[in-house]
Amino acid sequence: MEHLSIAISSMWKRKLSVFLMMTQLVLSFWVMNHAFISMDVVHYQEKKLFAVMQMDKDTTLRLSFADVDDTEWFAERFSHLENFIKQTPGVQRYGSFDTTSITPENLPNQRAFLEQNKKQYAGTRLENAIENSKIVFLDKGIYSYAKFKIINGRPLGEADFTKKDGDVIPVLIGYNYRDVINLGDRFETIIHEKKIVYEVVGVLEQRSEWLSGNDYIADPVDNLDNFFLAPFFPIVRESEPMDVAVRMHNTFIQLDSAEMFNQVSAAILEKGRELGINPTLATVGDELQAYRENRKQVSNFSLFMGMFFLVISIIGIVSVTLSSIHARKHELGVRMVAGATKRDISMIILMELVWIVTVSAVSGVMLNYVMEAFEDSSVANIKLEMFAFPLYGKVMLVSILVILSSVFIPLLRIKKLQLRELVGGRD
Amino acid sequence: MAFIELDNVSKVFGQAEYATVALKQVTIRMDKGEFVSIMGPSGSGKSTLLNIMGCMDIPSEGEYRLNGTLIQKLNDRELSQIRNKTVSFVFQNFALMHNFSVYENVALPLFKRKMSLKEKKEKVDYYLHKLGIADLSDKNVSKLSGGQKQRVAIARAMTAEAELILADEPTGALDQKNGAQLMELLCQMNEEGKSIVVITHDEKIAGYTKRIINIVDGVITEDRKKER
Repeated sequence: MEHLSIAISSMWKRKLSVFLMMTQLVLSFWVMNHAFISMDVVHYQEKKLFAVMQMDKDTTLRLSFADVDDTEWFAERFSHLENFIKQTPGVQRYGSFDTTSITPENLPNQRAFLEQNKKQYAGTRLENAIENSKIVFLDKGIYSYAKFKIINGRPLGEADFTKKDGDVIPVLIGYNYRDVINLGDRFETIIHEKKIVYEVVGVLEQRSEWLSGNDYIADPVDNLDNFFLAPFFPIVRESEPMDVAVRMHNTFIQLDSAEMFNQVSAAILEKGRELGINPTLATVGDELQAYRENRKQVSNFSLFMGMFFLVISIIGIVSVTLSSIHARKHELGVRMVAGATKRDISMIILMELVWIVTVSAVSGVMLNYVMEAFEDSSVANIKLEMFAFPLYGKVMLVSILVILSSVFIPLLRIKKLQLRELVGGRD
Repeated sequence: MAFIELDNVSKVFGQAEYATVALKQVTIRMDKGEFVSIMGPSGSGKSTLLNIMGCMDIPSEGEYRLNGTLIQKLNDRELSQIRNKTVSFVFQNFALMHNFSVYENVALPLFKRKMSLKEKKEKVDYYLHKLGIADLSDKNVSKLSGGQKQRVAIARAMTAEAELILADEPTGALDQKNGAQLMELLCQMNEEGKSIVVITHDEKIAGYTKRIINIVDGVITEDRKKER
C-alpha cells in the first residue's frame, strides 16, 4: 500500500508524461478490445442462433436470389418455384417469414396499448410512432424452428396457417403486452386497403426470440417482447410483388437429411434456371462459415493493429520509465539512503506501471463500450453483450503481458544502480 | 566492543590499470556517543570512508563491524535496515527529494516502520517543531533556502532516531551563521547520546567535535582526541 501511495504521488509530479503515456495505452487497449469483440461476435452469433432456433447447420438451407425483382413476372415465377420445392423429394418443410410493422386499431384498451408503446419506444427511433408495433408473419413450415414457449393461451396450430383473406387471424402477443391486451381481444389493421381482424390467442414468454428480419447471421435474432407474431395469410404473403420480394431473404428449406443436399439443391437450381430466375442455396452452416471468414479478416486486422499499437506503447513505456529512473536517480538514491531496498524501488516502479496500465486498460474498455453504445449498426447490441467476464479476462491477460514486458528492462536498470553514485558521490 | 570497528579497510574503484585506491588499510575504532570529525583534502578518501561507515558501500578488503555486526556479510535488505534504523545521513547537497514537500522528506525514514499514519505524523510534527520548521511542512523543498533545507535534512535524520549520524560536509552549502547553527544542533544531538561523524576540511567545523581524524590519500595520518 505504501509503495502504491508513493507511486501515485510520484506520478502526480510527472502528470504530463504519465498522461501522454496513458493516452497511447488507452488507444491501444481500445483497438485491441475492438478486435477481441469482433472475434467474439461471430461465435456469439452462431451460439445465439442455435440457442434460439431449432435449425441445423447441415440440413437447414436458405434460399436466396442474387437479383431480387419486385415485379409481377418475378413473383409469378417464384410462386411456381415454391410449389416445386414443397413437392421435391427430400424436402421436409419449407417456409418464409417477414418482419414488418402494423398499426393495431380498435383494441379494447387502445390507450393502454399506446402508453405501453410510448414507454417501450422512449429514446429509440420509434418514439414518434407509438401507434405501430412490429409483427412477424410466418409460414407453418418454419414456425417449428422457434423454441419459445407460450405462457398464457395457446400456440399457433395447423389450422391457423390455412386462414383465408377475411378470416379472423390468430395472433400471439409479446410479453410486454400481457397486461394491456387480453386473450380473446380483437383488433384491426388495414393492409393493402383491406381491413384485417386479428384475435389474440396466446402470450409469448419473456425474452422470446425469432430470427432477425435484417440479417439472421449478423444480427441473429429479434427480441419479441414488444412484437406480435401471426401466420401468413394470402393478402400479406403474396398479394403484391413486393410481399414476395421481402420474403426472398427469409426463406428456409428443411431437408430430411444432410445427404439429400446435393439432390435437392440440383433439382431446385435446375427448376430456377428453367423459370428464368437464379436461386442460390446454402446450408446455414455454410453461410455461417462464409460470414466467419469475412469477419475474420476484419478482426485479424484489428488484432494486428491492436498488437502493433501495444508494442509501440510498450516501447514508449519502457523508454519513459528508463528516462524517469534516470531523472529520478537522486530521489531514488535519497529513498535508498533512508532505508529503501532495491526491491522497494522496483516495487514503486512496478506499482506505477500497474497503475498506468490498469487505468489505461479500464479506460480503453470503457471508451470502447461508449463507442459501441453509440454505434448505429445491426450488431451494436450484440457487441454490447460482449462486455462480460471473458472479454475482461482477455484484457486482463494483455494488461499483465504489457506490465511484464514493460517492467523487465527498468528493473534491470534499477538492479544496476550504485547507491554511492546516487547521493553521496566518491572522492 | 567498539560501536564502529574498521580493521584494515581498503577500497579500490575500477580494475587493473584503471584501479583507483581510495582507502588503504584504514583502522578506526569509535565508541557510542563519540563526536568525530574526519578531515582531509579533496580526493583523500573521506567520503568513501563515510559511505562505508554508512553501509552505502562495502570495503574491497578488511572488515567493518557496526555495533558488532560484520557489514560485508549482510545482503541488500539487511544493509537497508541498518541505513533505516541505525544510521542517518546529512549531506552537503542536503539529499532532499526535490518536488516533494518538507513533510514527505522528513517522513522518509518512517516508510518501512510499523507505525500508524497518525503516529508517523506525530513524530514528524514533533521534529519539525523542534527544529522550528513546522510552518514549512507543506512547502516544496525546492523553494526553501539553504539553511532551511539543511534543517529539513537534520529533521529527517532526527526522525529516523538512529544511533549514528554521518554528516558529509554538512555546512558546505551554508553561510557562516547557518553553518554555526547547524553545528550547534549536531552538538545538541551528541549531548543527547547520538554518535556523530562529520566530514569536513574546515578547521572551525572540526573544532566543534571531540576527536579529529586526518586522512590523506586514503591513509589515516592523525587521530587525536580533544576537549571542546
